[in-house]
Amino acid sequence: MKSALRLTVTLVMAAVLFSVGFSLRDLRLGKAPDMQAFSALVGGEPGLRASVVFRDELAKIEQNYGLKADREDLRSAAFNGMFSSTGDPYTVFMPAQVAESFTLETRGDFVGIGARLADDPLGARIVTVFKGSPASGAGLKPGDIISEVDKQVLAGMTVEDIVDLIKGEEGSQVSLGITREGAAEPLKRRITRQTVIVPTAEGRFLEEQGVGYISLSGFSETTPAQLKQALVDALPSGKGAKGVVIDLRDNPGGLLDSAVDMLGLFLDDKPVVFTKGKGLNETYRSPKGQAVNTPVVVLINEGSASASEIFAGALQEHKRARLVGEHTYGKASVQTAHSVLDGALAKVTIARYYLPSGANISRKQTDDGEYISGGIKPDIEVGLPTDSTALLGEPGKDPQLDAAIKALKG
Amino acid sequence: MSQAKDSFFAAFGILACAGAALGGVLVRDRVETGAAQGQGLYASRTPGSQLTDSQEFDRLTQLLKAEFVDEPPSQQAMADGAVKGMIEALGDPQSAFFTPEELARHQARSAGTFEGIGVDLMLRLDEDELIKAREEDAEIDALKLLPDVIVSYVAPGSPAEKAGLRPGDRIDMIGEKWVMSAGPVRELRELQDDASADPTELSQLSRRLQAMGRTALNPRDIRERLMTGRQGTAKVTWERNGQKQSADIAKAEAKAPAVQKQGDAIRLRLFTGASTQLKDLLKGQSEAILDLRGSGMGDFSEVGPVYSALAEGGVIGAVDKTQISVQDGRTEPLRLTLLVDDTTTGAALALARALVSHAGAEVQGKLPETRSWWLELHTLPTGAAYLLNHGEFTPEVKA
Repeated sequence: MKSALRLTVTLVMAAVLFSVGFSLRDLRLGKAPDMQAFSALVGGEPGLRASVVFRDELAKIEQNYGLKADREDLRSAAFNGMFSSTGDPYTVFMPAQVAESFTLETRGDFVGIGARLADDPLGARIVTVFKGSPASGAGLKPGDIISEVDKQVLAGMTVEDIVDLIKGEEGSQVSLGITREGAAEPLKRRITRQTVIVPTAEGRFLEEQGVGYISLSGFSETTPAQLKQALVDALPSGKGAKGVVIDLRDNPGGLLDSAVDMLGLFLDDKPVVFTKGKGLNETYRSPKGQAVNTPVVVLINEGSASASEIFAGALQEHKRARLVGEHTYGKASVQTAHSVLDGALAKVTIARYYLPSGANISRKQTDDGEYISGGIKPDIEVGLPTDSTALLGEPGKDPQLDAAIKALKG
Repeated sequence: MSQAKDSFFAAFGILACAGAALGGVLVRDRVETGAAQGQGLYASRTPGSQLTDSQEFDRLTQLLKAEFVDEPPSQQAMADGAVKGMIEALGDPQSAFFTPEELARHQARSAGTFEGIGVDLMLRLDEDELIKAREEDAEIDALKLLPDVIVSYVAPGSPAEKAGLRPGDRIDMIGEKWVMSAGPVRELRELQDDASADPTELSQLSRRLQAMGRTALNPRDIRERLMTGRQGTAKVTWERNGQKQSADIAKAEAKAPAVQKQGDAIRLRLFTGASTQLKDLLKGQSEAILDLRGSGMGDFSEVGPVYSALAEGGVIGAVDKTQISVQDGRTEPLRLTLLVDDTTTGAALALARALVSHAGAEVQGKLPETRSWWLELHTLPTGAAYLLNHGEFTPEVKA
């Protein structure tokens, strides 16, 4: 009788421990056991598992597809496709190659010639030439089109591929063919590659208007230090600057921590943003004891996103700055990047952020990506002419900048 | 009760419990990764070692479950997302992923029932470039892989037919949006290659291309815009021989027969079920004229059965290294004439090539010089499916 009881107890214990073992994977991650896995076990009929479907179809595609398909590409595409089933455009899987340039972007330095490029049918159009960079030393100018790299013709290539060709070992040389408007023949330039710190904050004093101007093009690790220097450049002592215009137009954002640090230059120990997500409810305050009291006007447009919106939104809500321009993009989420599988990155949206007032600025858009609502509204709405005659950052040729200067002086 | 028996029970108990816990861990692996992965399952738990594909996938789904801000997607949604990702990554104009709803429409079209404006569309691109890109892994021009959207079939009596659309027309705009197309890019290339080209013209063309790019529709979205819905209208602009034309075209359901007698000829569409109707029609006949123009994509699983209604069986060709053979071919001889032109595409093109090479069919008109891609539909346990390009169909030449 007693041994029957012991046997029962032992069997119950074994069953319990089996369940613990079975759920160990979930428990170690601090989660409830996966019921689907249990039902797959008990029901005999295994539940549909995405990983099994993926494995089977990968094999089928590899075996049957009539042209050559790269297995690694297929796997990355599957992982990314699985991530996009969240419906969140910011939850993405980046294969190692893509991940590398993403990391460079957030770190804020790379070896190259020191120019920002954009797509052009003939090759890559130079948008900005960084101060003191090899490109600037070689006399390259915004608007120039790089149409050849080391004798390779670039027409029709993507800007990413062109950037790959231009980058290389520090100290090595690259020869470029440049198509410049008004020049009959393509120009040839040999340039030595160097480590370039991507300038994300550049300040200058607009003598004629008597105001400072800072363009902020990103929020990398080095941006807070650059912004401090930019403030010095934009507001030279003894010139009686009436304030500073901070240009966040087309700034896609970057690191949340950088944005919070930078807000300390204008807001002293104030709540600037809070985040809500799984185990990540946090209020961020701007740092203490660094704030200047110069009047600020911020330029925004639909290309201002993420960290830009936190920066502009916090200044607006604390009435520290007026915003001029057009509504911002409306990206109200925070991602973390996990290193997975040999250098690949998994970027996952872990939280949404809210401005100090609690406002949620999430974008709503049509299926074609056209804006419906969301983002931050400017205090003074000013558009740009559509015929692209405007020259951003040039007083008199940039109606939004002109309106910002007027707001500072008025 | 003896001491020995007690300790035996205790030892048995401890062993059983430990075994159960370990068993639980192992069984979980088996449940999650499927039995087929059995070999190498345990070795791959060690850090730094190679994980199997499905284990890597599972790790990423666990990451989503643990971190993603909202409810993670269902297993079904993740499975569909993964397969859709792979199919799109092929960059193959013939291959396509279908959600269950899209699959239902695809199957209806394959059987001759069309939604939308009543057309079938195909993506056409420079096939040599595609093959170069795939086979040689060469530096290729991404823009050259931009397909044109071509009308491959117009359902008789459909709004599209009434509006004047014909097979072979290129869709240029929908509403006010451009349909990305390879034409202008080719133009730019040719101009660039021409040393005496006028720089103003060159920069105008390149600017126009940039403007087009900003508002363009992805060619792959266009099928959905023109081939779904039974209500409303779509404004379509199309191009034929350099001439552009546009019209508001209503959306409605259009049904088309697979086999239709037209004078002496039989208009044949390779819709599901075409072979049965064709067999009935050709009973006791000794000659037939088949009109295969404006054929559309059709159902590739009909090629074999239709062939068997027309000619002797046997191996009719191959796709890659897989032979396509036909059983129960026709026993009475049939003299065949095929009416073909550039709009003979898809399954009908494969059929025509097989009949010409292997069954001595005569051709009136000229077969297109494009390759015959062989497409097969693969269904998923989720209810979704994909059409996969299995490669070029090459007809067997009768000795």
